[in-house]
Amino acid sequence: MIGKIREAAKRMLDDGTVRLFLGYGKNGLGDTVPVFLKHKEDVEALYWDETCRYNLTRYLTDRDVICLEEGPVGVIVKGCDQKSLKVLISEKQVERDEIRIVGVVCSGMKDDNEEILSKCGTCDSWNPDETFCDIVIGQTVERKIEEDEYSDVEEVEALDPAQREKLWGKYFDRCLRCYACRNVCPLCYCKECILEQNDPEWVPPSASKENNFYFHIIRAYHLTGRCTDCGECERACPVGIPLRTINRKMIKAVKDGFDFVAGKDPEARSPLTRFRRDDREDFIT
Amino acid sequence: MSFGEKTVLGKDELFRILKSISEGCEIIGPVMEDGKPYFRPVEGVEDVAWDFDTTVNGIKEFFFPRRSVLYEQTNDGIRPFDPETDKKRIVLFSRPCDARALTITDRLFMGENQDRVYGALRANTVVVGLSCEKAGPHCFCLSVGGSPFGTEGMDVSITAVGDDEYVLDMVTDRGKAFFGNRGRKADSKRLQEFETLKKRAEESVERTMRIPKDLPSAFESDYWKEVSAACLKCGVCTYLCPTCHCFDIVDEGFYRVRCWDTCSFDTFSRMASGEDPRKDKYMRYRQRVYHKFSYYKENFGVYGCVGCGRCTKHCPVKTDIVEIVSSVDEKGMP
Amino acid sequence: MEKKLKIVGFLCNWCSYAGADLAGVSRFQYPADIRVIRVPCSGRVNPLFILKCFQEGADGVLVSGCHPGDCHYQEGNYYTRRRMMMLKDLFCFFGIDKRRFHISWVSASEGKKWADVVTAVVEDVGAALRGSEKQ
Repeated sequence: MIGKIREAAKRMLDDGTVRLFLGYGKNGLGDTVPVFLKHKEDVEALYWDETCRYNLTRYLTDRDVICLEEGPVGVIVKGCDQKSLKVLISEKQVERDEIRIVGVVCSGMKDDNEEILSKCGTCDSWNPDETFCDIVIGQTVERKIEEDEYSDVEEVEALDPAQREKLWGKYFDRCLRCYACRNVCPLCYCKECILEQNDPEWVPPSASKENNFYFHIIRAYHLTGRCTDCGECERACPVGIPLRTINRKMIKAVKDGFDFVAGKDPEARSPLTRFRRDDREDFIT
Repeated sequence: MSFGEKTVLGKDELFRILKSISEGCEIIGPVMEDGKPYFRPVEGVEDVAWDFDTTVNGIKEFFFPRRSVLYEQTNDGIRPFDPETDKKRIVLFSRPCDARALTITDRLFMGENQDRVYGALRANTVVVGLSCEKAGPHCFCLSVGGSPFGTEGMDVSITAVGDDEYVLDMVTDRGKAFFGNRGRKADSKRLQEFETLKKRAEESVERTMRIPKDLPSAFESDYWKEVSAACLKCGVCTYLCPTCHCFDIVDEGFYRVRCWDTCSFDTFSRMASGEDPRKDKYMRYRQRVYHKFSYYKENFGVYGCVGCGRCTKHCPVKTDIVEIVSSVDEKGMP
Repeated sequence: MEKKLKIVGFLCNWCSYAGADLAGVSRFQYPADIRVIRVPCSGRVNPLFILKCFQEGADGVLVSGCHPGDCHYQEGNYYTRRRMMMLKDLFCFFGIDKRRFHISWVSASEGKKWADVVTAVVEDVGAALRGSEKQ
């Protein structure tokens, strides 16, 4: 597989289809890191294994490293990353013709303890979408898709309000406000985040339990109807806050409320920017 | 520090002593939360873990809190907030790197200018350290002047030796006053064993950082753009770093609050006019490296790094500062 | 006397605000625990406003706009409906009692309904707070 990835990258960089290629490499410790290749001679730096967890589409909107106006960029995507890319395209952050997509068939990523990531268990997109990607590398995997039960979300929902507050309080007390969850998220691309505004100051920047509480509400709400559950936030969090549970709660709410799943269609608009005249009203006083 | 000052204690006895001396104190120690070790205020000595890997957070936040109120605006004017200085605190089982980090931040906060909050918290806290038997995969303390058996910054150092016994070393007078004369004098066999363990622990540090002699010459190099490309500009590395100490001062209603801030954030050096002297990501990453390995050394005579490896271990994209700094001479010189 | 609550009401200029006005003119009695903020449309209510209210110590928040289909700007309140639906869900998930956050549709002619809505909201918020105090 890695041979084919290198070959594809080499060809694209060689004939000028792309001026930059985003892939996975290794650092001196043997850990997987994102790499940015400019020359065809560098493609040997590319690797592929089950530790390629990162969602590289995050870098497409990082203007410090990539300016898409300057020419097309090649990027390796897994099935899950492809969903984020579709949302980025639907939100006009990335133009489809500014990028070359190398889809790679994935059979589940593993964490540092060699255990398969929880997001991969219920993943329905091990095979990237051939109609969306420019190239798909790897043999199509046939597998039975486990129905997502949202058991983590339901576990929290079964608690009463005071217990929930206590549960999240425990996690948010730990939060350092390092913003790794926000910065690693491919969909948190705002040039200036409202968390950095100080007039008005929506949430004070100091990391107290209460401030963190509001920070996490804002983060989750801004991803409502957009989050594709790539799980990067939870992976990046140094203090182990179950951020996916929060995101999945909103994914479930959007699915139940508007019958919408983000990341399926690059033309689709987020449900909060649309409406139906017969939306449900059972929550109205 | 002479050998004669070392004493030996059994685990049960040590536990009892710790329990009695921490009576009435606020206790901070390593605890397991959701499978990871953290330093946290604990109820009693029995809650503290005795065997743990590098904790996620250091003990920094107990001296330089994430949020500290400096002043309050009242009807009668501004009232400064003083930390409670009469309350004694004890930090249990700080690793040598974390304790050593205190001596590094002391130079800033308690040097020419005295910081009220930090100074008060430092003054009322006794630091009891625990030597590392084995280094973790990301540790490189030997390269920056530390050691898995180091005692810098501690008041008392504890080292596990065989047979559930512990060697106690009174590092400071404060430690001695707190602990008193405890245990029996270590005999030569124990001291021998202590030295062997120390050697073994030092040998288990696998990583080395080669700090370039002439970092300033690499300042303009494109190397920094290259190595920082994957950086996410989050604050994991700096917030978990035991020596990073940058802060912001903000107003929260009637309170003036000091909270953590970090050079990796893109608003860190932005001025009111919108101008930002470190507007690109590579400039901010370079700042982090230079602050630790060039400016801090220049200003205070030590590196602003203790080699705990937390920044590498917890970085979401595994940016490895050891590799980056070590390769400056080879790849980063213009 | 029972402690007065602090409830922030975001009222759309065209319906609910006029409805509240009518309630006053018609001398309908309702509890005085609500502080009204007039907004051009319920669609103007940024969820951050609601968050800020809770942050600054409001006991409850009420967002009130025109009935669906009656929006002065044709469709503002349809967006509000979706946003608030999600926000309320999220608040509940984090443990903010759902009785502390209300959304209602009150038209300019519904002075009586406004009085009833406020009475119900104040009762609910009070009950939520009593519940949490007991804990």
